[in-house]
Amino acid sequence: MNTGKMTVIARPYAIAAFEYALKNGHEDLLAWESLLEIAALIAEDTAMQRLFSNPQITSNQLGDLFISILHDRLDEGKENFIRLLAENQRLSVVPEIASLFKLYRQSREKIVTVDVTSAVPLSESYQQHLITVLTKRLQQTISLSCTVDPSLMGGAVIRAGDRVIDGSIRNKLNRLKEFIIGIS
Amino acid sequence: MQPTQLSPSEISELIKQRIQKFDIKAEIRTEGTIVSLKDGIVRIHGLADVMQGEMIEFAGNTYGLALNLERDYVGAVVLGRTDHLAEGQTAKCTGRILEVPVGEALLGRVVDALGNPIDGKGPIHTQQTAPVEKVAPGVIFRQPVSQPLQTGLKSIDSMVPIGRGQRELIIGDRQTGKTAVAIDTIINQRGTNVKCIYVAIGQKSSSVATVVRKLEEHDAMAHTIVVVASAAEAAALQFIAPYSGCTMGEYFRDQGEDALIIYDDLTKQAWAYRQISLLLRRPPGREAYPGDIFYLHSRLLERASRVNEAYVDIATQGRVKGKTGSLTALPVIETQAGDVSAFVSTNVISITDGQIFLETDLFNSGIRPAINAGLSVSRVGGAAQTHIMKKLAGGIRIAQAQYRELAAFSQFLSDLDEATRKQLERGQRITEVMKQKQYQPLSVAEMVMILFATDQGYLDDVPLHKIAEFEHELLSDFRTHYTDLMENINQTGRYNDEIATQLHHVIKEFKKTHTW
Repeated sequence: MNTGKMTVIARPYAIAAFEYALKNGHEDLLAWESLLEIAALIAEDTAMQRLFSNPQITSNQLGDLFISILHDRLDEGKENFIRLLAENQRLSVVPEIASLFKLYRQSREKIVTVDVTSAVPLSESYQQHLITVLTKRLQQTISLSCTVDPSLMGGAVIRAGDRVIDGSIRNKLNRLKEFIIGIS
Repeated sequence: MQPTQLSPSEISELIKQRIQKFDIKAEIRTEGTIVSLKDGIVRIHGLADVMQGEMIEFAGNTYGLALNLERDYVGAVVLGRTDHLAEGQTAKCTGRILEVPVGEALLGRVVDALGNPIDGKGPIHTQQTAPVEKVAPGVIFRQPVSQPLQTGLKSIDSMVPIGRGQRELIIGDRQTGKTAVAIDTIINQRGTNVKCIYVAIGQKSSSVATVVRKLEEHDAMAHTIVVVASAAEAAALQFIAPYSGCTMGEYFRDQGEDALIIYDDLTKQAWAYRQISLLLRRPPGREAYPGDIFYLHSRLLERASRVNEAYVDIATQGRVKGKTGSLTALPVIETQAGDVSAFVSTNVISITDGQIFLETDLFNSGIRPAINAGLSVSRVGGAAQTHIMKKLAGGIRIAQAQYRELAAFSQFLSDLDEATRKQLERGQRITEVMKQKQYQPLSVAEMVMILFATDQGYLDDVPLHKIAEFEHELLSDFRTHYTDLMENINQTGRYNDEIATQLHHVIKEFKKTHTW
């Protein structure tokens, strides 16, 4: 999840890129998204991080470097976007731009990523059942991502954005503890 | 370390009951992550559907109050200790606006700003709660102030009378007796069915303990709730305490009863709010107070009101009919070196229906309560004054203000004409009569007696330094021998020739048998 001031900086870039890509149709939207994801990986690389903070490397050189790595995925618009970022010295916020971009695409397509953490692995049929139930509840297409965390002891925690449905044994025990301690 | 002894709540039967009552449904919540935590201010990422003023739950039964809703963040103040909170912990929405317990069960108790008991007398048995921030009753539901609220202080009840539902500011420097006026007023409400709430904001815990002890000594705790946010507590609690107290008072108002609330003092609440605002990075204005400092006090004091029968009917859902309710507020403001033109004091002066101005010079020269007659006013209380007090005390305030000026001026004159000398002497006598010891509030009849004696010139042959003694003797004579007359005045509050004759008789009889 994005935290920090970077989101504030990334937002106008992400909105601009998203609206630009939207004009060119669904295909381009996905192309932009994958480009941004790869650019984000590059920007997060430790060697690259050192270059960002190196005063001897000009922003143009950084832009050229990105473009040379990504050249087979670039068209005019995408190349200009990278150059613009380089010019404004904002290449380091690409990871935030990428995640915001993804968020915008998903909310446009009414897709919501739901993280399900359970104590034991969920069976295929149960996952299907969860998707049906959650689709009805959230009125959106569900993209399920499952993880296993034995420390929950039992039950599951379903997380969609800020909303959390917590049915884990660990949470119940914690609440029971506070309930017993607390003065009614 | 875990406690080694069992506490009373650890009885198996109780634990069993609690386990049975425990709700085991899956918990649905909106959550966010603590991004930063400093000086009692928490910034939370997430919490997309939080409301302004909503309670936020942190780890370890700690709550916060959402004050700043920004695009990516929620700025909240923590109500209580912050040492167990850390960056990265989750924070949950509760879906509730901050509430405090209300009801009769709170009377006689000392509670903190959230309504939790802190007097060691066990839990408070009340089911009802009410939101801390409420909108004041509208124009339609209000009624003019028409009943007096007796403070029991001669100088206030004669010169700046207070009515039920009024907001009267008590303003003055430190150590001028502001709290003393407030406490005497609470003590005087014994047996009048006026419920009192004393809100102590940013005070030393020792001062609060003294106040509570004094109230207990004078049998005044039974009708009083004390709300404490001491100087050691979080700024957020000091900021919220007056609203909590007001909510507790509004309960009585809405039941068609009369209540009195004292905010001691609002200067410190403004300081606490300034601290919170600056830490939340709201732009500072004059004296570094935030832009909404006026609204902070106006929305609080606007809730003190006299409401009509229709309002009480609606508020109690038809259980109480034909009764009006009132909440009288006595906010306290502390000035620095007598400067009433500071930001917060001018604000509160303009909001309230008058002020009682206490002065260091008067206090030091032995005039206590140290009320400045010229600067103190009551804008609506006159309409609520009892008939007899109005008759006898009508011109006293203006006369006293003129006397003060004349007294200052006459120091330069060697010989005075007869009229001026008379005026000076009368002024000195009234000043002397207006003095009153702490914790000794008087009934209406007692005040009437001494004011009548002054008015009719019975004090003219009493030496100035003997007046206090004369008053004491006269009143004890009055109390022991003329209970019928006392009752009559206290109950009816009317003044007529018959009463005047009786009063003349009492004083004449008294003067016959006493020498001074």
